[in-house]
Amino acid sequence: MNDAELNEVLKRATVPEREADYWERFPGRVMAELERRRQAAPAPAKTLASPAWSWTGALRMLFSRPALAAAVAVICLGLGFYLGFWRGQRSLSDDPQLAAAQKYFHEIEALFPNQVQAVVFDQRGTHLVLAKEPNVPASPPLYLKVCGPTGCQRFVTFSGQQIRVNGDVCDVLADGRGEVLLVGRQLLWSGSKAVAASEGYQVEARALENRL
Amino acid sequence: MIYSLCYRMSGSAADADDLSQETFIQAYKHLNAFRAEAVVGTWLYRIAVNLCLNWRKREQRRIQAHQEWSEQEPSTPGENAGRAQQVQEALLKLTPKQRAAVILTTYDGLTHAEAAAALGCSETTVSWRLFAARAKLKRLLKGQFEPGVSQ
Repeated sequence: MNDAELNEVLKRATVPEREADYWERFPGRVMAELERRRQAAPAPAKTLASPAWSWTGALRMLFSRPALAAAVAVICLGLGFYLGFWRGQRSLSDDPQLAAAQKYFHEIEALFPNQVQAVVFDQRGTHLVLAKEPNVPASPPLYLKVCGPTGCQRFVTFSGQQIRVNGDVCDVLADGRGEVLLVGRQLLWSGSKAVAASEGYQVEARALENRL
Repeated sequence: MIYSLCYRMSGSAADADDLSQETFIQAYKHLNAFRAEAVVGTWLYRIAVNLCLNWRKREQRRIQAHQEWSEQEPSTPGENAGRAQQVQEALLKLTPKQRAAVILTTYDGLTHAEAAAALGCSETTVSWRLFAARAKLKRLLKGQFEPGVSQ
């Protein structure tokens, strides 16, 4: 048996599948277990000045510390990956990257309604850009793929948001017909008509939902 | 991916449930330890692998897992389930660290460098574990499968 044959044999061993609702309930179970453990843990000694614990207080404290907020975003993204990857394996689309982006976006958006500014997919992984407050205006999500000198990045974002393309901060604007305009210092791109400043870049933009 | 990893490490669907849930609980509790430059997937893999390795350290649980595995209903009927069971049994005969290396690289497609980051060891160590694991798997699975025959 050579290495290729061994790989083939190993990959025949499939993992028992769980029902779809098992994964839908999974994040809820994790949060419930965390809450149960928190309640089961001995309460820390309180001083007179310390306020009672509450979810709103915890969230306020969380988002007052950007590093911690970023970490929460990252772990939620991990959850999104976990669900998205598992479910994405069953998705048959002509553009798997777009389908995956849509799944991730919806899972993240469910966790942070009106707070997602952008989801960025690049060589280093997937990153989430969240607003400090849930005040991002509701608008149709846009899917952008930008390939430049240092590689390709994909984004799910909205009109009016800013994205960082190879270090260049670009404004994303979309008109009523869905035409997308990218404006940065090194990149200027409009619809299918590339302009001089975008030389060296290949940009693809569309509404996230159109093709699904 | 985490569930699959836990299942292949433990050989038990029930334990994979617990281990994958515990992975995310531990991840949540140790958010401060997460370095922004690290890749989320690798970080989660590392937590999951450590949980699985610690879980395996408890000998009683290991014996129980074997019993559960042998009593477990096949997830898919017929020949496929039998083959899957044989492969899983062979995986369970590896040392936990060898098994983790095989699962991360063969099933989850991690490079040796990524697997090393998830396992907290050097790439050379991963290579050695894989070498030993694959040799043992070939020995264990030889004769049970006819190579190259598609199903």
